[in-house]
Amino acid sequence: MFKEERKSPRFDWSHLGDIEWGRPNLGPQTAVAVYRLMQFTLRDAIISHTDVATANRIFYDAGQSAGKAFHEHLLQKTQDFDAFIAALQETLRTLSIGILRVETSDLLKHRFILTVAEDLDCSGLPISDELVCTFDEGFISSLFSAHFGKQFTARETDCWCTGDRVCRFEVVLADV
Amino acid sequence: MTETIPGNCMDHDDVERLDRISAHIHALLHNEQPAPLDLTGQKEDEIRQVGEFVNALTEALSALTNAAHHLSIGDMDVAIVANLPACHHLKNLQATLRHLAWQTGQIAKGDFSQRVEFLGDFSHSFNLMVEQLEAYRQRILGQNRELERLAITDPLTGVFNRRYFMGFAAKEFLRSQRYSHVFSAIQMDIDHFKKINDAHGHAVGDEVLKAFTANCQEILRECDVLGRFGGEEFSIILPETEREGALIVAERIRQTIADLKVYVDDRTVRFTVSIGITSLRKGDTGLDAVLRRADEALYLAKNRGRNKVVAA
Repeated sequence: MFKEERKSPRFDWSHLGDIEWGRPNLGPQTAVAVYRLMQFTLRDAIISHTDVATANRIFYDAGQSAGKAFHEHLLQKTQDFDAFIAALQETLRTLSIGILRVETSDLLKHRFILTVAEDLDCSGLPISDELVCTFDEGFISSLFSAHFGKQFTARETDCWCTGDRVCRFEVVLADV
Repeated sequence: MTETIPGNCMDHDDVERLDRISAHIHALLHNEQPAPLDLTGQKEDEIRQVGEFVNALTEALSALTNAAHHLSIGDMDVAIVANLPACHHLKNLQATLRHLAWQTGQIAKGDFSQRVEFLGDFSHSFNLMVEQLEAYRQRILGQNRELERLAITDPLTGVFNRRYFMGFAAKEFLRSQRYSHVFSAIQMDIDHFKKINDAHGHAVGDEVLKAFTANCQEILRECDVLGRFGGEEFSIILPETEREGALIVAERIRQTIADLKVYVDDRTVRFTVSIGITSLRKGDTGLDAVLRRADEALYLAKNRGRNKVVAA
């Protein structure tokens, strides 16, 4: 299940297990630092073993798998874009992932600009002039793909680590 | 040739450079835009480093001022390039304003779920405005619905008025012809209604009309349409109903009304209704033909002694 060789992602929501059953005393929450400890040591190890581009690709792909599963299991299904955004905002906030806001939404050209404040991945990190939210890029692209039923890509244009106070993402239809 | 000042490690050149730096900072603090300090040819010491820092700070302040100016006039796309802490706050404000602009557009489109956060008193006022707008909108929608209802109903009985009824009947006629379906029409007239008015007064007559329509509504299906043609005349369209079905409905109405007792103050009023029915026929070229036939059947019901159902 977890350690079998594979050529394509096989993630399934059931892989997360029954947390309530498994953690009757500690519960489902943990600290943001623990999440980041995992994220940035993993990134560190991947870059050490491969290279930055490979690490980015891995994080983007993992974000896509997560976004797909997130959309399927945690978001209220709707055809309406505004209702989709409202549900996404609510869920991201409830789960303390970040504060999602929309700056531009062009439904005709399928182009969107979103920001995430107090982002789980990066808010408060040292300024490094790097766009580090690669996992979020994959995650957001997958949410939009799942909602619209078309392939989207997301690109981070501003990040806490580049000196911004929010992470900004441009989401557009993918060139297929 | 520089000369060291006694008791001080700085020479005249150093003092002169410090004076220039001091004048530069003084100008900055007094809302002036000093030219960058010219450090070319100067020795590379701590004073020069201070001068370089002051130049960098001046540049950052200039960028900050420029960004603040653009934001203050609503230009939300200005690039905030400096890395001063104040710039971080401006970037935050910029993101908030961009989202606010989007939210305002959403509200203009009718999405009244938008709420502004993180802007203190402005958030409170803005959100109150949106709530009020939504409340006004709901009130206007309610008033529009009420106006629409009043425009198509008879104020006394609450059943549809003649204009709405005729419009519905015309559509039903076209629909039935197009799909080769059938419908039936019923014409009704309360017997001796004038006598009720004369004997008991118009207030009692009004109660009779209301009781009559309320009892008819009880018998009819939701898809049937009952309209008041005027005075004591009423019509019904029964979609997808053959003549036999219409007869059953008409007879049920007639019997219910014949058994009905209307109590007004200390009086009990009883009355009857005459009914003519017909159904759409293949040769019918228009709605008028159908309604005329129902009218003729009603006329026969009256002539045959009233409190009768006649089918044409």
